[in-house]
Amino acid sequence: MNKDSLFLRYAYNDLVKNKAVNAALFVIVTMSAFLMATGAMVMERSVGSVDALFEMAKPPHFLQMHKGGYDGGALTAFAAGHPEIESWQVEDMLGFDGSAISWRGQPGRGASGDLSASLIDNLFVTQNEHFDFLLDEAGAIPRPLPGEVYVPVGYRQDFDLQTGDALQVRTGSGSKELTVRGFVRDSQMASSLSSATRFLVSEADFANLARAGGGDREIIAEYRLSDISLVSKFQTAYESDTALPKNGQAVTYQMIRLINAFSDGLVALALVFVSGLLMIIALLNLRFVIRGTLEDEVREIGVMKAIGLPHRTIMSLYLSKYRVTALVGSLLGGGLAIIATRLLTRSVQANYAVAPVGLMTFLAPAPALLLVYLLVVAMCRGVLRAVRRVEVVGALVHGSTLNEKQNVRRAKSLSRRARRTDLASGAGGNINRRLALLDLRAGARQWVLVPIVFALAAVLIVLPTNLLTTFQSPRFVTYMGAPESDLRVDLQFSKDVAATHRKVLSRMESDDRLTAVRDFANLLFETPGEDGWENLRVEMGDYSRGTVRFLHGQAPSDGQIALSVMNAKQFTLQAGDEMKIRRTRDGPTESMVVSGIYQDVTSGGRTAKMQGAVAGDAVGYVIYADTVAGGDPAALAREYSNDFASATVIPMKEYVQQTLSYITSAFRSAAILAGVFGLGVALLITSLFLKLRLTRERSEMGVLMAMGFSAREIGSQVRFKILLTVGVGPFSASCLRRLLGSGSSEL
Amino acid sequence: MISQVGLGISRLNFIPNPWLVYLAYPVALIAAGYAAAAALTSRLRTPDKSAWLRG
Repeated sequence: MNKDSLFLRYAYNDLVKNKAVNAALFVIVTMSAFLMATGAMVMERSVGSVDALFEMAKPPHFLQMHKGGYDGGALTAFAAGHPEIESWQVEDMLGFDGSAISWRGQPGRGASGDLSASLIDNLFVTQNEHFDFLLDEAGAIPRPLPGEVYVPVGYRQDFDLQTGDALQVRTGSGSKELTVRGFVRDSQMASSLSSATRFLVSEADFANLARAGGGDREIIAEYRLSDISLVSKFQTAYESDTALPKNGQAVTYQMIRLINAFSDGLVALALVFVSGLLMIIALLNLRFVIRGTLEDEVREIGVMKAIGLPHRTIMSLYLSKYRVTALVGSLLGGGLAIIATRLLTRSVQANYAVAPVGLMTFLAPAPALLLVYLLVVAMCRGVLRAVRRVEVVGALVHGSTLNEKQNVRRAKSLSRRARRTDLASGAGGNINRRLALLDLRAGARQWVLVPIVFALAAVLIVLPTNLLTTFQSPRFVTYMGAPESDLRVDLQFSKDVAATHRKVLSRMESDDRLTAVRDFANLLFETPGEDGWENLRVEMGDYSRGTVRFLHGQAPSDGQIALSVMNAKQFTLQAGDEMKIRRTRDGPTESMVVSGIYQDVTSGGRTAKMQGAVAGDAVGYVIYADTVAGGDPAALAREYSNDFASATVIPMKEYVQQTLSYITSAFRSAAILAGVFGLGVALLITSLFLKLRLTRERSEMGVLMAMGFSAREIGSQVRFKILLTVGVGPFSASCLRRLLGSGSSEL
Repeated sequence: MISQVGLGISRLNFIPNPWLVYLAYPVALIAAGYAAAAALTSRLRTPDKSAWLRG
């Protein structure tokens, strides 16, 4: 019989002998490997899906949205002066409110409804000629015939729309009916973080809808560059040219890609973090189990040493079992990860594309699984080094892994403890509880494992939940550069925007269902950048009532300006610095002091805020208001939308929920997974720990029985010890979180 | 990670649900631990306890 088969036979026999303990260890290692591999695979699949869609759809490298008139000649001249432009186009769009779009199921289906629940812009477009294609589910570039429409794939899931259903668009001159021909994937606006989505119609229907009125005209100037690394310089050049249209958000290829992969990337990160915690729990338990095994089998080790087996061989013998556990656990975890990844990436695969299976698909989880295997084996090897220190005489005579000196020290310590734990000298109270407390104190080094594991399990469960509740919280809107409010009204550029603003504001201020009406104007300024004067989007109004949370500094007062994080980074400014701005190219330059820095994800994250009267010549306006107690923001939003067609009125809570729906649904899955795993680990570890403790303490329990303690009393002592140690874990994790930052953490 | 994404957020402070974080989850964990202990200690009532003294 060779050495390897001997090791394997030993491993098999031991695995069978200690089924419960080995199964618990195996499950924990498998769960760690599973989560680690799932995190890696979710990341690979998500990026793969986004890349697959990008490969076919060819999204623009730079785009500028714009509302209002524009000079086509300026765009042509700009393109002629920039040889790095490979291709460019202007896409015309017609925006309709969700309530203006209704649908009716095919005869026999009986379903119907409208898209009023969708708060994002619904933009009708025609298929592009050169790039930024909308793709059908087969990855082809569809070209609808007159009377046909392709609907965003996200709406199929949200509203249960089907091919063949009728879609009606309420225009300024009656309703226009289209037949749903299929569903399209949109590389530019697929993420729920995008505030718009596109419907594909034929040229003829687009012209009809435009003529019929009722829709807001918008354009996107789109550019594909010969070298993607030039995007940043290109954006600066575009923004420096004052003749070009830029009343809207500018977006780069990198931003589109990041936003698309963001939600699943965060979930993958949360899973890897949870798996890291599980790994720590697994390693702590392995250490506990191996040390226990060495103590239990010290005589066998002594015999092996006495007959001349080198300690390396003895270590390998014990290690073989853990190698098998780690190997099978890692492989099984990897296999389960394939199923979980399919479930977790269902939404990304539906909205983007099915990522092709390639070499990276297999390579991505491999390092994760290898890491789990290597960590487990390294930990086992480290603990098994204790075999070296086992002395033959000590092992065979005293049945101890300690040497003679250590044995003497241990005996002294035990006798001291015995004196201290004299029950007769103790105060009154329940004898079982006192015995349990004394035993906890005596075996503190072993029992400490339980609170540590439970503290880690508490963190493991709480982290994904905290991410979920953060993104679900109404307070999250402050990360979107807006104050917490119930209602938001946006008035974008149009000929009569100032007049509409006055009407809406006057109505809202006199509406007794609304309180705290605050209005702000969006103005375009210029400020010196790296390559000359650049555009700066500034929101002006009264910030004295604490509307936005500031990361550094404070709200602006007269002569001050507050910058978003991205703008502060772009212009390398911080609170207290001076910033030059001008309203027009020939206008006077003003010097402002940066009052504070705030976080904002809107308008590409590049915004600014200034204190001042709301100007009448703004490019747009935004009004916030709260509803009185018992008010319904959604109903009010519908009412104001109907009365002011050019205003976009949104109930903030619903809007934020929809915008972040991808992220929150992904986090919900991660939180459920972490919750199940956390509780599973709690059950497993307690069982494993107690199984080993009860086996090892049988003789002590026998003595207690002989003294007259009933099995019920001994059981109650054990449960009391578990209750105490288990309770300390989550409690200490909570205290730690409070100490680290009043219940808040940073990611 | 969030600050590296370039979305405009440089620091994300958690907004926890105190009922979940400070009550429901700790209670669930303690209950899971206690349930495991109850299940294992129920076996202590099995009749053959003489083996305990034999070690």
